[in-house]
Amino acid sequence: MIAPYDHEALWSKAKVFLNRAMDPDPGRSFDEQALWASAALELLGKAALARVSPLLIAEPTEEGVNILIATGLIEGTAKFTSVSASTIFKRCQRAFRPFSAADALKFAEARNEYLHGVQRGRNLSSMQEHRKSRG
Amino acid sequence: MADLEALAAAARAKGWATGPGDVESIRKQAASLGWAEAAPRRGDTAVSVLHPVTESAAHPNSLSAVYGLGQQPLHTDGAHLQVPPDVLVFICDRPSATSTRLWRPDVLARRRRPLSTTSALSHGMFLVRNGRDSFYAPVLSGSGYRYEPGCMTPCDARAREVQEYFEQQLSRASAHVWSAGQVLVVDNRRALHAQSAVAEGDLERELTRIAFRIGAGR
Repeated sequence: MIAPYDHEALWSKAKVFLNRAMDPDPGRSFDEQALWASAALELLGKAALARVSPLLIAEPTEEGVNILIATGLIEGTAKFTSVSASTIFKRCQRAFRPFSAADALKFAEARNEYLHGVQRGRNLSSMQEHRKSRG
Repeated sequence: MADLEALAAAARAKGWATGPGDVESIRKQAASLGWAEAAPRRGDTAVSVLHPVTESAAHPNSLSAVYGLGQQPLHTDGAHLQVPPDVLVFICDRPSATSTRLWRPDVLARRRRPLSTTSALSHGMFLVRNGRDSFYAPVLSGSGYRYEPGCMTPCDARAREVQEYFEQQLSRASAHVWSAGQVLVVDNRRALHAQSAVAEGDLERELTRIAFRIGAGR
C-alpha cells in the first residue's frame, strides 16, 4: 500500500494532472485544462513539502493521528488527512522562493468557483483572457 | 555451470546474457550473493514453470490471457509491483523452437528515437493497475524501465506515444533461440522481453523463471 504522504506518488499524480492540462487534445476545453492544472498545483505543493518531511502536509489534530501516520509511528486503517490547499501554498511560499501563495490561491479559488459555484468562475475567465492576449 | 554474478554483470551492461546452468545451481548462487527471490504475482511462487497457454487457460491477469499462443508485446516482469524484480533468470531444460525476443535501449535505439519519445519515456504517465495498490508511474524512472501493457494503461498523449514506440521496437528486438541446459539472465530494469508466437509442435515448451531483487547489491 502506498503511503498517502509518499512524495513520489504525489509527484506522479501531479504529472498525470499536468499532462491532462497540457495535452494537445482539441476535445478538451480551456475550462477543463485549467481545472486539471489547478488540481496539479496543489499536488505539486504537497509533493515538494512531503519530500522534505511528510509532517509538513499532515493536518494537526488533538489526537495527532495524521502526524503519527506521517512519522510512521502508526499504520493501518486510520485515514490520513492533509492540510488545506491554502496552508500548502503558504508553506511553499516560505520554503521555496519565488513561489507565490497569492498567485496559487487565485488558481485554487478559480477552481472552487468552477466546481462549486453556479458561474464559470471570474478568475478562470481572466486567465483565459490572459492566455489569449499572450497568443 | 555459469557464474551468475558474471552473467548478471553482463546483463547489466548489455541487457541480457546467456550461459549453461540449471535451477538448483542458480538458486544456490543467488542465495550466496544475497539476492532475494521475488514472486512476480501475489500468491505465486518465486520459481515459476512457464508453459504455452491459450487465452482461456491463462491466468486472468497475465499477458497470455490476452495474447495466448501468439506473439507477446515487449514488457518487463512484475511491472505492477511498486518495486519490480531487478533480474530474471530463465532456464531451459530442453530445446525449444519458440524464441524469446529481447530489446534494450542501446546507443543505436537512442539515436533513432525522436526527442519527444525520449521525454515521453520519463514523463508520459501510466495507471499501473494492481487492485487497491494501483498507482501512477512513467515507464522510465532513473535508469529503470517498467512496462507491461496488460497492467499499464496510458493516461495521456505522451504515454500513448511510448506505447506505440514499444510496439514498433518489437521488430528490432533480438531473437534468443533456446537450446537445452541454457540459462538466460535478463536485467529486468534495462531490457524488455517477449515470448514469440509459439512455434508449431512446441506446445510442450517449458521454461523455468526465477525473479530476483538484488537490492543494495545492484
